[in-house]
Amino acid sequence: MKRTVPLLITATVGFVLIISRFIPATVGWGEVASVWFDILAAIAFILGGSNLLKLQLKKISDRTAGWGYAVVTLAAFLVTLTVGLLKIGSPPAPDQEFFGETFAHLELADFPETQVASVDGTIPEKADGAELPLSVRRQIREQNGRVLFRGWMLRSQMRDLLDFEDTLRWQCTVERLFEQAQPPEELAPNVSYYADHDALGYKGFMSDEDRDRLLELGRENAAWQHAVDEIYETSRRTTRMPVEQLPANFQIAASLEPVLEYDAEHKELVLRGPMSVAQRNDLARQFPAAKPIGGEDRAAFLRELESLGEPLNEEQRAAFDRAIESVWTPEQLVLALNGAGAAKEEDKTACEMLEEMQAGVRNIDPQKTVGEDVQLNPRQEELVEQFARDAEFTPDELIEQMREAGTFNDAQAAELRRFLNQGSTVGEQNRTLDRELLKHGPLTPAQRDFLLQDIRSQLAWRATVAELFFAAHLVKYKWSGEYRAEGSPFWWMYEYLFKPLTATMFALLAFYVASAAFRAFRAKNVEAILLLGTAFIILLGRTFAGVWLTAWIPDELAGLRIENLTTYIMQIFTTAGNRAIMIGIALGIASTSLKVLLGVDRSYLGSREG
Amino acid sequence: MYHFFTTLDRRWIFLLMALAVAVPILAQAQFPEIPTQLAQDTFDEIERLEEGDRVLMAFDFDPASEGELGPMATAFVRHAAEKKLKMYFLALWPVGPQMIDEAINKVIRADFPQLVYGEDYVNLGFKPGQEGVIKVIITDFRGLYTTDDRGTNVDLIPMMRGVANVQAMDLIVNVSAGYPGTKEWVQYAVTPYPDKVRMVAGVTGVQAPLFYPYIPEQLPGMLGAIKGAAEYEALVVEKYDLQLGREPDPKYLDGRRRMGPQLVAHLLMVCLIFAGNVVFFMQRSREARS
Amino acid sequence: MLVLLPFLAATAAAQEDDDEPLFPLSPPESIRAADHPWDDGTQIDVYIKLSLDDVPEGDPKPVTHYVIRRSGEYGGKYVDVGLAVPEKRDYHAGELKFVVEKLERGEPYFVRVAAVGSDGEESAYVETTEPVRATREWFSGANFWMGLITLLIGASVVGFILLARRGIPLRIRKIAGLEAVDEAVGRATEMGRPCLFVPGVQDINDIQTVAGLTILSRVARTAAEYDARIEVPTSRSLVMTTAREAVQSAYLAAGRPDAYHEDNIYYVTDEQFGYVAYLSGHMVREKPAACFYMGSFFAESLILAETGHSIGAIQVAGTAQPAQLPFFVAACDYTLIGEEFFAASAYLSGDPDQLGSLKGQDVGKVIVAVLLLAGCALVTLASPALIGGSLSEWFEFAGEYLRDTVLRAGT
Repeated sequence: MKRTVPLLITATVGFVLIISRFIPATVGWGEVASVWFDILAAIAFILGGSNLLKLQLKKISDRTAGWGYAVVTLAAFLVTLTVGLLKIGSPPAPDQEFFGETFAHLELADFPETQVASVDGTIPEKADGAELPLSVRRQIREQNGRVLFRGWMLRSQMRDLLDFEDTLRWQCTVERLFEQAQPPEELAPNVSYYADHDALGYKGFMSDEDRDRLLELGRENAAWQHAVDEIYETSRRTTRMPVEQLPANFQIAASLEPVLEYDAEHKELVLRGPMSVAQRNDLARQFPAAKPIGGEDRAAFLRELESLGEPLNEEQRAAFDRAIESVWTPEQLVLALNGAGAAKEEDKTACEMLEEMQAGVRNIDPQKTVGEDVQLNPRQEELVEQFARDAEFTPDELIEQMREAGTFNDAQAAELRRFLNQGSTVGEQNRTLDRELLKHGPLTPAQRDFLLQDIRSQLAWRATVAELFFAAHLVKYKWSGEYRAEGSPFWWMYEYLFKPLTATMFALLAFYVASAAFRAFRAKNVEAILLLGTAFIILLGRTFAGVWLTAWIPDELAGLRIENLTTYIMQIFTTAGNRAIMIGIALGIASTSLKVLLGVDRSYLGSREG
Repeated sequence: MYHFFTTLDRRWIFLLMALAVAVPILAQAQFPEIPTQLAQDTFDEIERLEEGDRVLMAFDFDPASEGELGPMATAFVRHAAEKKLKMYFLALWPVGPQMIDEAINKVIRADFPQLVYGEDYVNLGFKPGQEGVIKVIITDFRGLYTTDDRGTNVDLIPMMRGVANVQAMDLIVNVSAGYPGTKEWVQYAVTPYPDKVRMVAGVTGVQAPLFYPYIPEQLPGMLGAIKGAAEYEALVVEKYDLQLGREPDPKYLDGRRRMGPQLVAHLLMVCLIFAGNVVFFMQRSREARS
Repeated sequence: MLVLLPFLAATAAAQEDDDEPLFPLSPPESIRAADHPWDDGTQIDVYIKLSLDDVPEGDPKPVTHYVIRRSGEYGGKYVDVGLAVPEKRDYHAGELKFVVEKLERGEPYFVRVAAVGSDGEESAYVETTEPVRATREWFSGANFWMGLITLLIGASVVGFILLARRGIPLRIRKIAGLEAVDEAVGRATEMGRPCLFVPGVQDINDIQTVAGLTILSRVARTAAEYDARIEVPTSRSLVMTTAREAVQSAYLAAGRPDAYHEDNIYYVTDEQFGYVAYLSGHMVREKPAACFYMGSFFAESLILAETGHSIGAIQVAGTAQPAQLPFFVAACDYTLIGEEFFAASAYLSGDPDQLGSLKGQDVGKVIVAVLLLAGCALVTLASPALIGGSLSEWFEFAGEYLRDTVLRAGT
């Protein structure tokens, strides 16, 4: 019995895997078998670990020779296991953390009835019996010719549903359902419900009005009220962060205005509630973008730089101009703004296409053109040019003047900001300048300080913002971090113990190959001589030595050059030999496997012996 | 002298080998690389893809073989990033994720910061089960990969939309140091779906001869050991740096740098085999005389 | 099966009063869509009768390809599923076949096809008006030949086992490596030192590990008879469990169950080089007189064999990793190469069942050889210089059929 059961399992799984290749309906069985193997493989780790523990402990308790090493092995094993499993020193994964968002546990069943969306329609039945996507299955159902959705639908959930069936009617139903299954308008930008996590989420600092609005959604629902109150509490934490020095022209961006203030008395930034990534970027962005300044501005900058030390030499001056010119050009900005102003091709919604289809349109174009083409006029282009050359000209002023000079839409304004944010700041630009100038000549310490002062304060400010960002954040999943996160103890062991040790063992091969070659590679007979010759060709051909040695061979006889001979030998002789061995081995594997599956050969279990 | 060689302590050979490797490293000896057809084929295979095409980057190696395979992994990732391909990283070796992290940090984070995780590249991490994993994901990705390496649900990852299985990939790039590796990918992914799955591989020197039978049908391109990496690097650097008038970053020429010690070590091997045979023939003639 | 009508786009008719015709290219004559036979229900075949403008010659060709689109409903949103470029034989037949893949089983599909000219201009489309559904058949037709060959080899293995059971004598050549097992264990006994058995670095799912354990049971039995100590450090815990089973049975069979010590078979680490480091250290310290390396090996092969050589042990190796064979051959006393390794269990047991399976394997070799010769012959005969005419075309077709259909595993 002890032998028969495993053999039966082996045979069943083996044959399932074979037939799943030929019978399409059984492909799933093959996958199940493979997944089961995975589970078993995991159990093997436990088996191995316990055996290791047992043996090492035995060595220690018996005080056998070298028991001290057993202690080291054991300690290393346990330490690695502990720091790895507990993820000691690993920060939570940033993309698992919803920065700027606060959560409270809320079961799907407790989601307020007032927020259950419904539209006319039916959920299609699939011919192959496929069920609705896992991401929405719990939330969607059909009742009396209406499709109901509990919870607020996320965009990703809508996409999963759209993919479920390829008909415009269904896709239009999904689109309508998506529109329905959204939070009330005033709350929409801030609240979300994650059915996957059974969690209600709120972005930012919750105002009293928002709390009341939320509570209103589920008056009689205790769980709901509790969740809202919990978020209200936690989202209103105040974080204070001391600031050495505020950046010049410090401004609080619109996104942060309601929640952030500067306490001049204590020299502290005071933030209410958590901070989102966008808010963090807004706050960090206090430094003007670099521009390809020209004319008097450039000359003044150069004068100031030179006044702090030696005048720049010829090459440095050239590098200075080059570096300033290379930030961006007014033409690039004009191009980007015209691009942003151009009419966009957008996908039509399924409902729009369904309407067309019902109206009898034969060839539905899935795309439509949105908006009008807005291109910059000559006056506006001139303004861009001025903006580029003038250090004092701010983006806000530019936008204002562009609007006065002609049409300039919001997309273009956004593109202008994106364009500038994406490029380097003045500080970063000056750092590049410092590096470039040093390549071509000396700079005095005063000159370098002058060039680097902006970047220093920029970096210091960024560090402060990052500190505030993390201090204001409540960790959602403490263990979501990587066990091998950089700087963690596990990473340290991997990087400084494991990696060099294994690489060393592998490198030993070079030494052993050399000594084996010296000892065993002898021209004992004709075959051995052929083998030797081949070895020489391959050894040389795999390096530049081969190319170098036979480069003199004329092109007509290029085939005789060592590197070409190497390829020839590898492709023809080695391949032929390998194929023969591989075919033999493959047949050996097939027949041995068959014996194992049929239970003919059980000697590996020892049962045929005797 | 004869006596010294017949009873040569192998530690002398070890010392010579150490010198043959160390001296070129310290002297930073570098030699030019002329790409062979195989490296060119590998390069072309990636080159023919278009922006937004999907590439499965299967990194099946470990720190031990990093010395041999690291440079080609770097070059593959860089090439894919330059081509703006969508990269799906995964590993069948337990320490594969570290190799993936290294490539991501070295190439994508450093030189292609505009690429967004989840949209342009995703790290699906390690799965145990060797070829079993390939067998499952070739027909059903979500059968094994429900989350990526960081635990994000794959359905929430934009670039996983429409990827039902490995057949949805436009190319598999496998960097392999043994089992499971190139052989398994060829056997379980490429061979059953010859029209849907294409693959190129970078393998260790020892394995390379074994895969020649798969070329070009199942394996249109293959890089063997550091030599292959150096040749491929030369092609990538030529197209994406030199032709654009840029000075290549030294990290993209790691393969070439590592070919220096290889050259000297190979020459040492040739000398050792030669010396061994001289001793052998002397021994034989002495025996014949006595 | 569905027969479907060609259908010109309504938009084309609507704009016919323009000076220039809207579609200078004539559309495909007609199309037809049907379920792809013998598949898993994810494909349909689209047959396209070529456009009247489509001719094989011309530079650029008037029609470069056809674009195929599908929708889940008639007149709905059609999405591109691929391009079809006609080949020589399609022009012969006047029809082109395109397989639409990655469909959902049993769902209705509608197809539209348009011809595309060299300037990228599309013709009017032709469409199907009735739904076509992909159905799943019970057998994957693309794997027919593979199934047949598998069946042939499997049947010949089973057949020869049955023949052997009937008492038909089967012979097997001497394998020096296996003969050496007794000698090696004997020497270890004389020297009073242990035997070391390394079952490779792969798990029990690797058939080489299984073959290695088969040999282990023989080595263990000899060791039990000679009263020599045998040690089996493994790199996988499941291999450890199986090896214990094998060794215990061997000791039992040799009548020495008392001499069996479970702790001599133990797990070291899954990490390849950690395992090698342990083994090298262990070998240098314990100096086993006989070392057996039987299983799947990678880079560690030479490290082990060289260390074994340096301590003067008798070494017998067996593996089916072709890349490692040269290292073992260079540094070990005996090596079982590939197939020999798998034949070991049959050889050692002398059991007719097992010998029969070896003969079955030979049938496989004959099949391979015949296919190889046939392929070479067909390709040679297909060269027009040799025969020419329709006969040579026939050989070419046969060669292609052998290569692309018989030997190419499908989905």
